[in-house]
Amino acid sequence: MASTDASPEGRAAVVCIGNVLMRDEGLGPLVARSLLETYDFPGTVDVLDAGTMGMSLLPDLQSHGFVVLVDAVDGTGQEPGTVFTYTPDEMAPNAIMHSLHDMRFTDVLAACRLMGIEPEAQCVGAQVLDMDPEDFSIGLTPPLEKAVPLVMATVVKILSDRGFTCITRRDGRPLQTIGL
Amino acid sequence: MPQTSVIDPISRIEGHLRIEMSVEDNKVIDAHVSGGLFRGLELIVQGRTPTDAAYIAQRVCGVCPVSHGHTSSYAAEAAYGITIPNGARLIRNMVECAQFLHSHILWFYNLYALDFVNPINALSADVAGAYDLAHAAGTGVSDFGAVAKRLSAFAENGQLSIFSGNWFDATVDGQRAYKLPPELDLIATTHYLEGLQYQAKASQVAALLGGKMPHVMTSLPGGTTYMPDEEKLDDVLYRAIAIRDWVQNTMVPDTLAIAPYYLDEIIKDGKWTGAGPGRFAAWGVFDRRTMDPLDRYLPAGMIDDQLNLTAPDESKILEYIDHSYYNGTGGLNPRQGETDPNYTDYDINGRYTWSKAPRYDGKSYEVGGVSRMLVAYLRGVPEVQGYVQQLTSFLAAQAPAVFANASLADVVHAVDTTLGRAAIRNYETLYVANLLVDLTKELIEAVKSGDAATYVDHPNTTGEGAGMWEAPRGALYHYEKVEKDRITKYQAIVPSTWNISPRDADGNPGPMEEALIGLTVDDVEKPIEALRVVHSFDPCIACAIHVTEPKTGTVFNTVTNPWGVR
Repeated sequence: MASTDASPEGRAAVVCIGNVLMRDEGLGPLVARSLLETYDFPGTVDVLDAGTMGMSLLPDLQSHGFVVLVDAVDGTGQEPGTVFTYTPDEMAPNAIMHSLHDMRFTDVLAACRLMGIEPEAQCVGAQVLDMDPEDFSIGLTPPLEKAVPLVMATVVKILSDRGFTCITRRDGRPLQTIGL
Repeated sequence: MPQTSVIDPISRIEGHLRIEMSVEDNKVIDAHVSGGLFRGLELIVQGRTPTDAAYIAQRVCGVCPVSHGHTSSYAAEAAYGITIPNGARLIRNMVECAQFLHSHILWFYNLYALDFVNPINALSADVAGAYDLAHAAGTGVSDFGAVAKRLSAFAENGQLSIFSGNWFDATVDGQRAYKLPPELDLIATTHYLEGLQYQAKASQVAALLGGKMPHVMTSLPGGTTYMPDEEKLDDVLYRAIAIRDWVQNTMVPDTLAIAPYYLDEIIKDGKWTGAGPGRFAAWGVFDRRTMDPLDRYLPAGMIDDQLNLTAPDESKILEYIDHSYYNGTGGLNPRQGETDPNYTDYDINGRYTWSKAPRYDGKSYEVGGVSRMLVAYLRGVPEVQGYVQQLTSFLAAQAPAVFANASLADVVHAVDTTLGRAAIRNYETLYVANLLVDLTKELIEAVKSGDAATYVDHPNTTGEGAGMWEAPRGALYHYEKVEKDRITKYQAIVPSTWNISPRDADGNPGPMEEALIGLTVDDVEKPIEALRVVHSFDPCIACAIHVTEPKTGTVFNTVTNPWGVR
């Protein structure tokens, strides 16, 4: 939970969504961790492992004027591991919300806009290979694993274009991934 | 010839729940409730320390982790024979209050209200009329015009997916099931959105005291690890007061504004709608200085069918597995309880759910806000007696023929119904919101007077004990046996297990099954009457996954090198 009292202007959030127990669906949280291990971010940028938090993200969207969303993507027809940028309006609306955990980012954003809060958002994602493993599985499939540096670079470029400069850590450990 | 009516999965809850009903001449003549998820917490904590267990137990749920952590800690403290000091008592109470407030607001506005409120109908509201109606109902006034404008823009673009998957076209008695005037739909939809913000405030209180939310970090067997400073206490108090004001001025008045349109969901043709077994269990929550469960702010108690109030006796709890996916038959006290899963095909005549069937003294009991509030009422908690009185007067004004000379039994029946559960629970929300403000002030005084110790050590490392506390959804029980600080046996009975329990060994239905049997259902394809009953219990089962997909016909921009050629 970031502070909600600060003005959202001039603040950016990298909101990384996903469930680490569901193979490629864990892309977002892994990117969050890797970003924090690899870069020093200015104080105006918050990198968040948002898990599957749904509507609990509202305060973070409210307190940041610019949001970069990182999430696994399916249904693009492209090879697994292909990296995309897109805008929130290009996301499919939710067909049916069965449970609180079926809440998609597009729903959170819709609720946000209905409340009159309009953060500017850019999205980065990668086509998944497997996000529905038979057993809980931590760690990405090889094509997604390979895509992580490109996802990170894309996030950093988007931030940079907005004037948020991220510096590669001199003492940065090599990119760690959760054990495959 | 009875028809089968199935709702699977039930939407707007946590986790996977299936309802199967047999309907004849629009009456539900039989009902089976099936929980589709195995918990297995008991197995995960084997061989761990009680401190580990208190943190792992929180992972059962993202909505009520605090209650599981606290109840697990209380079980360890019972096993060690220790009692937490005053500062820890206050902090735990406050974090628990924050979680109750988050959960109750979430449930009423975002999970339950869409059974009664139709945001699409709000599109035809007269905005000026909405202001008049809000004033008349004494409920919160916001910028209804702005919300109406945004709603219609969204509707034009087909962006109202957060309200999708609902049965706004359902019928009851051949009439449309959603009965509010558009102006009230607009008011309630506006407050639905405000509710999201007040939930966040409640979570912020839990995070200020617990390090983060969900899954707070500052509570463990022996007490708590963190005492907020003056600045943090001020942050808590500010939010507590804002939440209290909103619950008092918006949530409770909304409930009373909506209720007159749906009195059939309380009593219809002289019959209570969605009535449970009429027996209520509460283990109690929010300790006073006495640390006595019977003296809690919401005290412990069992209410039987004759309205006799007794103290809970743990030895009278048996969990039956005759109709559940576990090896074995019959009932065991949780201290002897086993967790030996064995999934077999779904068979309503055999085994049909992962939920066990807990019974008290051989009988099913309903748990939740209604049970806590009725126990508090019978134990003479003054604020709760006042709220029940308010509710009784309200009902007497709405339906004098039924409630003009209401007996205690009538009032008990009225709140144990589809809509009654919401009314009494929203008054509970107000009680808890006031309590959080009071506890914050009490903690400030305790810190000043040096009476805010947070931790006691445990010289003893072997023993067994049960924690009996409450989650927002009802009575919560954790039991552990500890040998040299390692857990050798663990059992939990969570609130929804009581409410969604299947048949027991004698074939007696669980509370939700009982509430469904006898219900009138207009349309077996869209049995909204049944959905309302199910939601009134606020069932909570567990979790799934989510992912982004492109809109049909949209191609995402492929990235190969974000910086261009370098």
